[in-house]
Amino acid sequence: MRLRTGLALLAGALLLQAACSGNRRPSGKLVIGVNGSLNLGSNNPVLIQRNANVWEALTELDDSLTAQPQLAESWQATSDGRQWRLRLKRGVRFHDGAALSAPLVAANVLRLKDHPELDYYSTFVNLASAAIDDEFTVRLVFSRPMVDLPNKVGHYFAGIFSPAAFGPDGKLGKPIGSGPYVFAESRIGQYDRVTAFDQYHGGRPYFREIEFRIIPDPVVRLMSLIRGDIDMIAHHGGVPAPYLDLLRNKPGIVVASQDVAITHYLLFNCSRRPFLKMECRDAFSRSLDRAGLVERILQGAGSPARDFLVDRASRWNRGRFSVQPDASGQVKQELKACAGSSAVVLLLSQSDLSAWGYRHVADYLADYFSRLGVPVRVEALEGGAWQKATQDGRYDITLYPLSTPTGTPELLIRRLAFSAGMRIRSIGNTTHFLSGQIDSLFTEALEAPDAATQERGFNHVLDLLAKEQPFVPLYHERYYYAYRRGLAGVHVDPFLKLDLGRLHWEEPHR
Amino acid sequence: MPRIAYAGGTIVVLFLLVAVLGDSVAPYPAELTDYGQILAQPSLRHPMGTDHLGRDLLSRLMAGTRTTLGLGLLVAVLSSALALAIGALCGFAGGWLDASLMRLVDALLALPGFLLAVCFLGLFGGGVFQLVLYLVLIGWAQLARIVRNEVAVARNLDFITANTAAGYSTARNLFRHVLPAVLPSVLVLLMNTLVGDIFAIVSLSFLGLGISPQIPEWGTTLFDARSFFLASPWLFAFPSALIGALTLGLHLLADGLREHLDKKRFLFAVEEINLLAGTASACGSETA
Amino acid sequence: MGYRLVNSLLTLVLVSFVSFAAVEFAPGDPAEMLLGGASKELSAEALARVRAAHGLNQPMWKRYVGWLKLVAGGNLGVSLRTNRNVTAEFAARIPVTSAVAFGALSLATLAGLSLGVFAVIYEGRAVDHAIRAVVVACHSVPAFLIGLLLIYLCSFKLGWLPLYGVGGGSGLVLPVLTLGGIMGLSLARVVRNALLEAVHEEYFLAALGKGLSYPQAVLRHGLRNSLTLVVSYLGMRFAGLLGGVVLIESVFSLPGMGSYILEAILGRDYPVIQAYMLFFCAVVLAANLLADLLVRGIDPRAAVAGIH
Repeated sequence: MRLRTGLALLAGALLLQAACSGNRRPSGKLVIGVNGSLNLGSNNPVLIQRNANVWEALTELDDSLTAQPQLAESWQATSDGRQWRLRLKRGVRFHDGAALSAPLVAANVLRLKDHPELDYYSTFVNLASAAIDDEFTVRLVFSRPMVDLPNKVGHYFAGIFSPAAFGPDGKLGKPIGSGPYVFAESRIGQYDRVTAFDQYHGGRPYFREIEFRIIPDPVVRLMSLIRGDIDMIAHHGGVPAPYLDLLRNKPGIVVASQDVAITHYLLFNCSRRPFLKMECRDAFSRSLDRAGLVERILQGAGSPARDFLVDRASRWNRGRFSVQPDASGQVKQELKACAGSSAVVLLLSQSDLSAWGYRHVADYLADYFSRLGVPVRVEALEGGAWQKATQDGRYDITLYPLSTPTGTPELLIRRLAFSAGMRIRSIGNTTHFLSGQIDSLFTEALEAPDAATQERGFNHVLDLLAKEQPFVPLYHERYYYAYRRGLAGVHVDPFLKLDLGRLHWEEPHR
Repeated sequence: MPRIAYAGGTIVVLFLLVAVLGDSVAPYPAELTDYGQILAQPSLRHPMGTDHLGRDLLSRLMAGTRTTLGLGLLVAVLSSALALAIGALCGFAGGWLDASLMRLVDALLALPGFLLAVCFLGLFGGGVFQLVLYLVLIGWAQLARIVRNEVAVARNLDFITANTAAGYSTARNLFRHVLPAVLPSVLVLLMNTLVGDIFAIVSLSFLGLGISPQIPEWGTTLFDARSFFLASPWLFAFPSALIGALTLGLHLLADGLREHLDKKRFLFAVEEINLLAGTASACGSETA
Repeated sequence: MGYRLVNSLLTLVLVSFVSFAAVEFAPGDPAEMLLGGASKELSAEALARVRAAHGLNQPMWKRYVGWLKLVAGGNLGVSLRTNRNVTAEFAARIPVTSAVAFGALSLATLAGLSLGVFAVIYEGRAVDHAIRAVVVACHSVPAFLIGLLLIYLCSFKLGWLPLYGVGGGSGLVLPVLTLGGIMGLSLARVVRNALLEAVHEEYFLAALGKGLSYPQAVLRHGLRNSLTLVVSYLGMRFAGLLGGVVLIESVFSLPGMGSYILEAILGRDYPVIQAYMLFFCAVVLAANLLADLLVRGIDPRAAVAGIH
């Protein structure tokens, strides 16, 4: 009797398993596990993340963060850097059938000019006019030099859309772009789907449909890949470092990494002790063990920062910081003298804590400095409260992530050192060191008539910042993704975009 | 006293001892990191393994006992005290004061307390003070109603009426006779509340909404362990087991105590207490 | 009943004010969130423009009244992050949450009643003790831990059920089992205690006298009389159940209201948090009223005695 029941149960279990684990998908569909929806909503200038491959921009930054042609084929500036002629690619169709043309690009540029809240990196604030030279040439005239325009029209909020996509308020109703995939559907909390755009100018994409399946928990995402429910883990969050070994041991799964253009900074409160004096910031900064942090805590999910920007932004990379700590007894003395007896407050924002794994970084810093004789107290605040507290200067150090969307240090300086930028909102606003000097150097660099002058100008500012150290870079983000063996054409760019147009299964797989 | 009360009591006392002695009995300091031993499996050196910073999990959980159990006790005692004060006031005074305060209690009881705590912690950020405040605010009402009903019953007992007739003051009656009479049931309720509060604290920390990440706490340990769940399951197993053991102890103690006091007829509104018995009252054990 | 209704309405008004004020005094600035939050640099003019456009510069009471009017018309506001209507966002997520909540309630009722009856019929014997042991054991570990264990075993190791999401309904099995199971066990305890009291009542003894067997009498007479208790108990635990749903949805990656509030909190989506508090308080108040009505329907005496 007991045996029969057992057998029946077993049979039932096997049947159930067969029914449930039937994860053979139609070969034309690819499922990618992501941590949240790619749909950003219509308050956002592009509505759907760049990763969806639905829209394209005029340019695209390559692995060395240099602008390469995307919708613009070539570009040329006048010698004063105020006028740009962009030649557009021919034969580009948008998802609604519209053709790429100079008037279409002009309409897109004016959309951002007229609605500055959608122009995320203030590219077109100084635009005087957008003229149409011929069907495929658009001429942008600025009221001041704009030598890095090609870099500024390729970032992740710089999509070019069919004019039918946006209304008079500039907001997108539907993201009608020119990418290899057409936005199909977002199911709240479940998935975003895109379908192949066969008229794509780069060639017909391989997969008929791609689904971004929302699985917020990284471990569940991982289990789903191992079980074969999804084909790939890509985009923010990626594969958590502790699981890299586990995944590498699975023969059916490939793990790869990409260094992305995101840097994590340590910000000092320069308006009060202990970091009021440059010498104290310097002592703290010199004793940082960047290499140890990356190796021990991030377990490879990052690279120690040698400079303010990622290594591949080579124009700004001067190796201004050391990845090894200054182990001399002298720095320890200095550090102790600066800190006195009270604990250094490391203030974190709750949302960064969960989005960037700052919890472990904070734990490490606290432990590391307490070993050096400087106790660190970690405090976490709700995002808004953190912003207030940092603005009011109620902290000693804090952590702050910043990307390099245009491949230049402009955003970094504007956000953390430029006084006009700081006065508005930034955390750096308590740092009144040298602000006059940095402001004028920065403005000069922005309006430099040629790229070489601008490069010198920005580097000069960075040199000053490296000397004064109101903030220092800690580590650059390295991101791991994983996919089923057999998937080919996998390429992720430094801004986390997976090129969906090139993905396909290797032949034997079919 | 039933045997289960002794069994439960022993467990609870053990945990209390760990909470009080803490550091002095732990094998390592809770903050001590060992980067050569990151995520080490349980071994003789580290009976419960180590975490992502190479800290000894056993020592961290021992330190966490103080936080979790301590905060739980603080919340339970504060909400009981508040409940006792308001309940006694209402039950003894009666009239409009009773009616209006009980209406407030009705309102609070009809609200999803845990959800509100989640929202408030999310809006204003976590921290020891906030956590205790919200949990006390959502926890006292249920107890207050029971205390009030008991006080109202006790107040009409013959000897109290006789005392009043004999000219004893209200205050004397309240403190000398009525309150001592309701204390046993408050004690039973307090223990049930404690379980609910511990579950709530652990759950909120597990959601990342609790106290500072630097303080060792069971829920925070679980929160951290969540990202190592597959590769290092022991980080999850041991805190879970400890939560289970402490709660089991509290349940057994509360159950046994309730049975004992019930037999000795120390409890008045037995029906209501029965309804709560075996289940955590303040936030509900489904919460966690 | 009238008193209960009025009290519930008053509570709701109070809640609406508290949830509005809470968001009002929260440290973040909704205008900044409207402009994309911390992800970019904002000019003071842009902020001022957004404040004016969304009426954020009006006095608080005016905005409160305006909000109440909107809510009364079924419009819960617009999400700061997605710019979608909160009502629509809720509508997409409520089915999942209600499926879990009602699934759990049904399972709890079923399990609670049957286990409770079993425990009484076999009072003092092994079955009774076993049930009691299971009740205590399951109550000693938070539900989310049990849920995680179940995912690991049933979904990952055995592959019987989906790892995440609803999955055409099969994804709801484990969450319902976890929540409903635990609630059912505590209900079993309540039913058992109530039945044990009932078996000493005169009517019960009379039923036995008429020749009914002990189990028959328990089922026919005892059970009916403990129904009111079951209903009022479930009504009482409903709020706790919804709290549990937050954790369970987060553990099982379900796209319901519970995981939504966590997203909203992390994204500082203030209108969503506001609407969320109000909505759930309304639901719980309504559930309590319903439980009251049911109790009166089953047992008119309760109206007089006041089970609450």
